[in-house]
Amino acid sequence: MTDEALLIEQLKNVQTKEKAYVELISLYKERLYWHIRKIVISHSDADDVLQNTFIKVFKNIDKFNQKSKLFSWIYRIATNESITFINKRAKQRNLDVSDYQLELASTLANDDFFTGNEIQLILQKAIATLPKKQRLVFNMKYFDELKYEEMSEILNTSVGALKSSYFHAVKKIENYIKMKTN
Amino acid sequence: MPNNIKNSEEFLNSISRKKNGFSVPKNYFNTIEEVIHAKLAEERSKNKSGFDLPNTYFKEFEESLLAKVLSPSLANKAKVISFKERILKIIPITVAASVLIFIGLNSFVFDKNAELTLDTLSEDEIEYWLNSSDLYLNDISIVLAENILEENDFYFSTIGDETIEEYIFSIDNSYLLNELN
Repeated sequence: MTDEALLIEQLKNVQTKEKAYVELISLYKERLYWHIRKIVISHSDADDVLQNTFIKVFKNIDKFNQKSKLFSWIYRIATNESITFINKRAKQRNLDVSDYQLELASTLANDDFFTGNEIQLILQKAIATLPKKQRLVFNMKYFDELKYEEMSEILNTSVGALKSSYFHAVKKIENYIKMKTN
Repeated sequence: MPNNIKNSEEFLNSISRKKNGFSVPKNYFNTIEEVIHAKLAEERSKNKSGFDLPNTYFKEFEESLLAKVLSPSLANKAKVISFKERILKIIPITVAASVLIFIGLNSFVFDKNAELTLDTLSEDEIEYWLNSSDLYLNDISIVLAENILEENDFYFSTIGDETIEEYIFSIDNSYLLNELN
C-alpha cells in the first residue's frame, strides 16, 4: 500500500482520522497556501481560504472516491474555494471579477506581505490582466511547476487546452512586461 | 511553438527568477495547523446536541410535504383572489380616506371668509357646544366687557301688554308656590 493510500484509509477510519488529518495538513499546507495566495492575492484572504479548504477536506473525506490522487482532489477544492471567494468579494464590491483582480494587483505595492521588487510587481499586474483560466494555468505551471497531467486532473481540462492556455498566457505576460519596462 | 514559448519563459525567468514576491508573517506555517484544528473543533462543536438525523431527511421531507400539499389537480392551478375579498380589504381604507378628504376640504378649501352668525348655526350644533364646553365666569365677563349691555337691550318694545298678560296666565305657577312653601 502506498503512503497516499494508507493516509486515505486512515482519514476514513474514525479511530485514526484525527491523527491522519494532522499529517495531511502538515503535508499540504504550504503548497496549498501558495496556490491560494496567487489567486486571492492578500495574505489574510489566503489564510481564510486555506482554513476553509482543510475544513472542507475533513468534512468530505468520506465522499472522496479515489478516482484521482488525493493531492489533486485537495488542490481542486482549494481552487474552487479561492474562485468562489474572489467572485463573492467582487460581487460585494459591485465589480466584475477581472476588474476586481486588477484592483487587487494595484494594491500590492502597499501590501505589507508583498516584498517583491519592481519587476515582480509588474509581473503580478500582468498576471492580473489574464482571463481566469489562463491565470490559473500560468500560476500552476510557471510557479508551482505542476505537470500538465496533474493540472488536467485538477482543472478537469484536456492537456491540449492547458498547453494552449499556458502559451497564450506566457506571450501576453511577456508583451505586457516588455511594454511596461521599455 | 515549443521553442517560441521557451524563449518567452527564459525571458520571464531572467527578470523574475520565478519569484512571485509574496511573503507571509513570521512563523505563519508553524501556527497555521493549530489555527485549523481550533477552527475545526469550533465547526464540530456546532452540533454537540447529540441529535442526529438521516442524511436524506430534509430532501425527503420537502418532497413528501409537497406531495401532500399539492395534489396533481391543484399543483398547476393559479391562485385565485376573490373579488369580494379584495373589496372587503379596500373598504376600511376608502372610509378613512373619505374622512380625511372631508376634513381637509372643510379646513382648507371652503370659504373661510364667510361670516359666521348665530343664525347660521343650527340648534343641534349650539346644544352640542353647550354640552361639550365648560363655561367659566371669566369667559362670560370677557364677552360682556366687549359688548356692554344697555338697558334698552332688555326693553321688549315690540311685545304688547296683552301678549305679556296672556303669557303670565298661560304658565303653570304651581311649582313656584310649592317652592315658597
